[in-house]
Formats: sequence, C-alpha cells, structure tokens
Amino acid sequence: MAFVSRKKYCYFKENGITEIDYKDVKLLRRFVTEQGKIMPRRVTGSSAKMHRKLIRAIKRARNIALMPYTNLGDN
Amino acid sequence: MRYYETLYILNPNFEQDKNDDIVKEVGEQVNKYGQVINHHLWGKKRLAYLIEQHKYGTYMLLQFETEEVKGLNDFDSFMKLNKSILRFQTVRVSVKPEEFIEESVSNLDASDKDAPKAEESATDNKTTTPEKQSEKEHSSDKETENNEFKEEIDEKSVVEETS
Repeated sequence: MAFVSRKKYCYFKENGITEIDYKDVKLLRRFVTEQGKIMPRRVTGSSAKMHRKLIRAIKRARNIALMPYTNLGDN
Repeated sequence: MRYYETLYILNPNFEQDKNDDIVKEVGEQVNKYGQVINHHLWGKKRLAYLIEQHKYGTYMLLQFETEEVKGLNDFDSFMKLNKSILRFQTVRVSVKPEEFIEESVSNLDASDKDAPKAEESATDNKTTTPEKQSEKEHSSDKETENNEFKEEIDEKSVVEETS
C-alpha cells in the first residue's frame, strides 16, 4: 500500500471565510468526528487563527444544544 | 454602541399564545436598557441532547444593541430566573445585524442570506443544494481549485468517521 500524501489546506482561507457563526451547524459538522469531538488541526489543516475561531463556535453551538457534547450514548 | 445576539430555547410544549407572552416579556426587558433590532422565531429544532427531559426546543433569536453593561447582567439574571426558558446564550457580535425580513422564515434552516437560495430551498431538497450554494458563494475566484479541495476534505472526513 503506497503512502499518498495530500496537500493540507485551510478550508476557511480557501473559501474566504473570516468569521464563523455558531449557528451554522452544517459548516461546523465538517470539523467534528462522529463522536462529536473537535478534529485536530493536523487533520483538518485549518490555520491556527481559524482553528481558534472554529473551536469557539463549536463550543457555543454545544452550549445551546445545536451540537452534541458527545454522541457515545443514546440520549 | 455594542451589538449582542441572544439565542434562547423555549419549552416546546407551549401554545403559541404563551410563547408570544414570553417573547413580549423578554422584549420589554431588553427595551429597558437598549434597543431591539431583531426578535423572531428561529425554528423548532431537535436538541442535540436532552435539556430538562425535552427532546425538542423552540429556538428564538434576539438581536439588540445597548451601551450599558449593567443592563446585560440584569438581563442575564432575568433569563436565568425565567422557568419557561430552557437555555439561553448571549454573544457579542462585532457588526450591526441586518434587519430580519419576515418572508424568509420558512427557509431559515437552509440559509437566510439572499433570494436565489430561498427559491431553491423552497422545494425542500435540503440534502445538498443549499450547502453547495453557500460554498460557492464563499469561493469567488478560485472555483475549480476549490472543487478539488472540497472533494478532498469530504474524503478526509469519511476516513475519520470510519476509523
């Protein structure tokens, strides 16, 4: 099995997104795992600046029950 | 002037009248210290986790401007003490929120930015089109490149989920 290297890129930079809204759950869903964990920067490739904003948005969405804290149990 | 946005969840079992009463109360509370810009229904949604044994919630979106920080504290305690409000969150927004136009209520969960999208989502195929539409909007010049990238990240997320 050959190792295929992929170029990482910042999704937000490529798409010209500067602010992340916590109400935009569809966007935030891309950056969490199935269990609801926030994906690390080394996986998503987002820039440090946008990753900080992303984290804030995801945590806000969790607080207001738009996103789960965890998806492990059947709640 | 500072702008704030509060998203709060009402008990889903309430009648329309009771909802209106609470909304009115909240609006009055805000008007004591500032000026309401938008105050409307954001939609009845399934909660990501149970809150007080409720599976669904009625989301209300309130945007306002104020200068008094003390007023915000009062507003916070008012919301906390109000038993009909399951959860609320106040966030400061840096730019002045746009005035909400009534007709886009039904298309809120797809997106609420402009007209052509509203037409599409009216047909209720929420699966792919509204999302892609919004993505396209963000990418102004590098369309083709972005498409490749989009596919890449999709694959990536799939891998992450399966592992």
